[in-house]
Amino acid sequence: MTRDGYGLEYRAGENDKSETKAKTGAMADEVIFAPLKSGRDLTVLENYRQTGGYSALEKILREQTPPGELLAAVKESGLRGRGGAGFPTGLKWTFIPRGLPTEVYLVCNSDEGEPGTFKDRDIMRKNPHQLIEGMIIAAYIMGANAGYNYIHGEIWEVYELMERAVADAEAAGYLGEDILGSGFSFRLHNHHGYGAYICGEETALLESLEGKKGQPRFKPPFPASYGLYGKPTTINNAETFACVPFIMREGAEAFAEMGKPNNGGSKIFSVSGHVEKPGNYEVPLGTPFAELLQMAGGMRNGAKLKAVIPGGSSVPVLPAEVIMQTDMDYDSLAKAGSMLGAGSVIVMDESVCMVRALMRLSYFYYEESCGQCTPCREGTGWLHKIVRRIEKGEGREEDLDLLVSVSNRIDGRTICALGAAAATPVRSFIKHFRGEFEHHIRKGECPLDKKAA
Amino acid sequence: MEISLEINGKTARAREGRTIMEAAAAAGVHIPHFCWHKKLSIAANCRMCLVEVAKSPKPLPACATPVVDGMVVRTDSPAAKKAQQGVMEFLLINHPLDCPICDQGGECELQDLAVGYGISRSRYAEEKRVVFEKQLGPLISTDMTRCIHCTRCVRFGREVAGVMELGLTGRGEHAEIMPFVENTVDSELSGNMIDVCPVGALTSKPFRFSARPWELQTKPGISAHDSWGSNLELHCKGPTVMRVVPRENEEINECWISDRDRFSYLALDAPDRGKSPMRREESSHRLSESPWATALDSFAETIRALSGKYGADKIGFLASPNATTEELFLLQKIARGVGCENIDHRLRRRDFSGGEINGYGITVEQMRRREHLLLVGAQPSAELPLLAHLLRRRPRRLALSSVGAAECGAAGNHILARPSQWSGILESVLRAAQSGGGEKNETAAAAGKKLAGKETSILFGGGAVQSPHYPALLEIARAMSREFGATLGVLCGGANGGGAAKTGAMPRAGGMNTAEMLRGGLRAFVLFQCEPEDFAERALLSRALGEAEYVAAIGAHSGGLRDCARLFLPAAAAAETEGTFINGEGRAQTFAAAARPPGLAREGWKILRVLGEKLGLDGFDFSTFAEIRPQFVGEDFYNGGGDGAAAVSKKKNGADDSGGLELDFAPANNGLELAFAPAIYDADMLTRRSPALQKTASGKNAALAQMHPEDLRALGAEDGDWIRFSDSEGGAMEAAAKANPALARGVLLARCGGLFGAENITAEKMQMDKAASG
Ligand SMILES: Cc1cc2nc3c(=O)[nH]c(=O)nc-3n(C[C@H](O)[C@H](O)[C@H](O)COP(=O)(O)O)c2cc1C
Ligand code: SF4
Ligand code: SF4
Ligand code: FES
Repeated sequence: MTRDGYGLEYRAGENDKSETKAKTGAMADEVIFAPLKSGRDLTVLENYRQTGGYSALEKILREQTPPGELLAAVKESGLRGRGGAGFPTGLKWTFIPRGLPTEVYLVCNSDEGEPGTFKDRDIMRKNPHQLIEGMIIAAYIMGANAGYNYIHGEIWEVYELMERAVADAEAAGYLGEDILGSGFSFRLHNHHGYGAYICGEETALLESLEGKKGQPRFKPPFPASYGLYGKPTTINNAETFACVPFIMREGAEAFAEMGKPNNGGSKIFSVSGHVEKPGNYEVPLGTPFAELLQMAGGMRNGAKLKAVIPGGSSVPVLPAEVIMQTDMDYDSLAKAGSMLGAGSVIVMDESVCMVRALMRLSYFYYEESCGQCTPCREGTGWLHKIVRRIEKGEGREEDLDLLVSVSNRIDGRTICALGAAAATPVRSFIKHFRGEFEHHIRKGECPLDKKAA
Repeated sequence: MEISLEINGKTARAREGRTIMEAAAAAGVHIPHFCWHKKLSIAANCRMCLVEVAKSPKPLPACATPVVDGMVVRTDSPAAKKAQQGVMEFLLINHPLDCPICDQGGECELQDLAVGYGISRSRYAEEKRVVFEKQLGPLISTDMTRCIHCTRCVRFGREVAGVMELGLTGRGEHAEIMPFVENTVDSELSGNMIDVCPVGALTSKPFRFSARPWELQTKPGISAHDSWGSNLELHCKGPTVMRVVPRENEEINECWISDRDRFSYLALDAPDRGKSPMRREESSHRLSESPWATALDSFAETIRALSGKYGADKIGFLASPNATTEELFLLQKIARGVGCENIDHRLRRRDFSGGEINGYGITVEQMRRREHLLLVGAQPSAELPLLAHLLRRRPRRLALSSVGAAECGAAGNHILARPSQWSGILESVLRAAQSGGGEKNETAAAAGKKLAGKETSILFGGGAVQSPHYPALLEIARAMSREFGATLGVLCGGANGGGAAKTGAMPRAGGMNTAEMLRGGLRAFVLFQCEPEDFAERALLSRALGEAEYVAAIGAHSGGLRDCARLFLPAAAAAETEGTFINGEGRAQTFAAAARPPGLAREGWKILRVLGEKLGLDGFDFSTFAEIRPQFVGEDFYNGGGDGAAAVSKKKNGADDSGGLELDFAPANNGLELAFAPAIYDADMLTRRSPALQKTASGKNAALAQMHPEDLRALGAEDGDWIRFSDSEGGAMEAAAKANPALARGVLLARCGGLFGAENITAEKMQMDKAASG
């Protein structure tokens, strides 16, 4: 995780929500941050209850709603995974074999380590019980009696906060044996990671949970059949789970209608970079980027927008003219040539040297590759070294083609998607900003340095 | 279920669940690979095996992708080739192109595939990675810059050797294979890592820089160190063995061999290797070189003279169980020819009452499938490293021993006790099996219940066979055999225990066994390929040899007998002679000589042939090796596999109805008891002389007196202190102490140099000044 990510994260925490709301449309903060509108401290369980928290769970357990019904609601809601891949959550939950005499595990992925992503920590920091409630409902649906919440290694205070929240939920009878007398039991354990980006990849996360070196497993088998300790396991992003209580309380339709078809619900966007008010913004999927930018206070110091990475460092960068015409949802961004990813919007103004920016990104992947498989282990280093050379003014004419070729040789040939994640920025930066790279190579210097001088 | 798929346009069939790699191999299509190894788990990390699969947008790793019906696979399409070439390029960018100075050159999987899939010019213009070498001990050299991170070595450790001695640490380009902290690699199978490493990152330290693979001739061989019968490949340059590697045999050693099998060849040119016959005149203190003719004549004359003077029954013939069947046959023929019945190969045994078991009683294949294995007094990793591997893969086993709890059995399946307690415990197990529980010792009771009615094999290790309690243990085992049909076997019979028994290298009526010979006031000894360290009662042997008038030694090395032998005849070691070994299963394996014996040394069978002739005995007038076998091969000589149980002499047993016997498993004595676990690298004349093996952790430990930490503390001693041990029969020895928590209390694990007794041993910490001079 980069240090830059940190600075942003803290600023996001200080972000004043009421002010945000005042500036933007009424549709913001409907799902996960909605209870915050009460102005109360939701880390206190009782406050969460008073905003309607845990009522969905209570109802389900009281009425012993058949899990199949709940699962149908999740499917109907159109909820897609918020961890990056956008896989339909309801569909994923059907993969868990039912009626087997074996343990089933539920795992929450709160490891967010992708540069530009800082939403899960805000969910946990501001509304931890909604995540817990969502996990309990998910566990009920899948028949899991034990769950783990794997929290990123560099946010210790969030881990402590989650520990308190889980203890409170246990004390209130929402977690543990025979929850609210329903006969259903679910134990939730927070697990503190150590800051390796790769541990966010679901199978590496499982390895790490098991106490091993965090290295992705070859798939298949997928976690749904061979997961934690070899048992069927469902793993979802924290935001994904946090959406579940809303769907149960307000109905699948309400959730689906909030967004666009096939892009149901709201999404938290972590906006960082050269905007006036970096922070987390929960808006309906399909919100135009321009609107989101406005919510974030617009460009810092009125600077001109140059490019945006709309979904976290692993997705293709889009130049200003493209992103300004794009809505923030899975399908629109895909059509524009990028991805929604984890909803991490990195905004860059005209002062950004794209070669420098790519050097920083390629350094990240070079450092974070787990080193297990050949194309990624060797290729990420190669990519970084070439970009670094170009940045230093020692680029060669053939370097750009070589970068693309090496990227192509990594992409799709690795054990996990980190390889592709490393290749993507390289290709998209060159595609959209080739001229800038060529200038570095031909002139041995950065055009922006000159401008600044 | 069989499914059908298409590989490179041809229809192939494969069982469901198989991988593309396996299906392709069966169809004769080779897919390049590095991390895949047929005996290891799938890692799918090298990506060399990427192939094109119809309907898959990405190339898939053949080693990890299961076949499905109707799958269309192309291993040689442009897309597949492109993927493979891409991976090859990545593998080479940081690989040092130091093939000319790399030991793996010529047998490197990377080199081979680079020729097929690489391009001649590198597009990589950045600095290359350098990785520091690791100190893994005396057997394995490292050049970690060459490592391609396939993790075969890691998986080998975890899955085959049973200890994860190497791991992949660090991430990305900084990922490195290394041992835990600064540990060396110490498993008894570690040398196999050299074979599994596809590149020159892990190479044989002793072999390093001594030859190129293409200079070597490959000769088949059989292990001469234990009863497993591992198949070897000896790589020779001219008349010399340069290294030893496994020869695959699925039924026996699969594709592995022990470090003992791999590195014992280094003893072939040990300093005391016999290269010329030597004789010592009565008046002299030294052996001196002698022409063959004189030496052979003197042997015949002396034996004849001594038989005349004292009677032939005052001569003793002792032979190593690692000698070939042909040699043992000729040796017993000589003994019996001169009228002597005193011949034995069971050197590591004390008490011969109670009958005889030879071999495992079952085959290795049966061992893999047997419902239960009950190991008594065995230390598999030291006695039979490949049995240890087999045991690790089958959880249902019960072990009773005084050493090595963890390696013998899973928790709850192992009873750690001193040898004098074993028979009591075993009896308790038997009674629990008869009555369905109710025994005081919970493990014994649980074990008994588990064994009852199950297909069980009882296997005795060296610790049991060498112990004075062996007859009692045998008796109980026989009762178990009657009770629930358990088979009986011994693990420690030596490389050719089967051949020795079949050719009669043991006394018949009226003859003396090893124990009797050592106590029988014999006037002459003939030792074949053995020395005092090979005996259970080595102090007693040394005394008997010292008191004898004449000692003749025939063997590869002279060292252990230099002081007492009057005649030394230099013989070939196993790698240098043709011969037959019959392993613990009863499987006969004949081999040819791989190397030539050095100097004037000759094959054992040739020496014995001439000796027989010189003694004027019948049947020695043949001239070729091939003429020996017909003399002893009977109808069923070679198909006697697994008849160990049948060979058990039936003896009246009264243990069945002793139900009321009070058992608290109290040890029979108060002093220390010898554990009799032969140190792995003290097994025979060759391993003892392999410098590389002696430098390993196990090699170094062999010289130490190991005791349970509590016992050591009771003596006020700690690691490194010198201890003096003495027994009630006037024997004594001194050794440096080492605490070993894997031992039972009250047990001493040591080379029992000067001790006569096996029990009631007293120990005393020695004074510092004495220790300094010791
Ligand atoms: C290199 C890498 C890092 C990842 N990091 C995260 C992460 O920090 N958080 C996360 O939720 N998903 C991460 N993922 C995605 C997960 O593997 C997985 O798809 C996700 O947790 C599934 O949850 P969802 O379906 O709710 O999105 C990562 C994937 C890769 C390849
Ligand atoms: S793609 Fe990279 S991070 Fe993923 S398994 Fe391979 S080496 Fe590890
Ligand atoms: S040392 Fe050899 S076997 Fe081990 S990972 Fe490296 S290349 Fe593979
Ligand atoms: S052999 Fe298949 S990935 Fe290595």
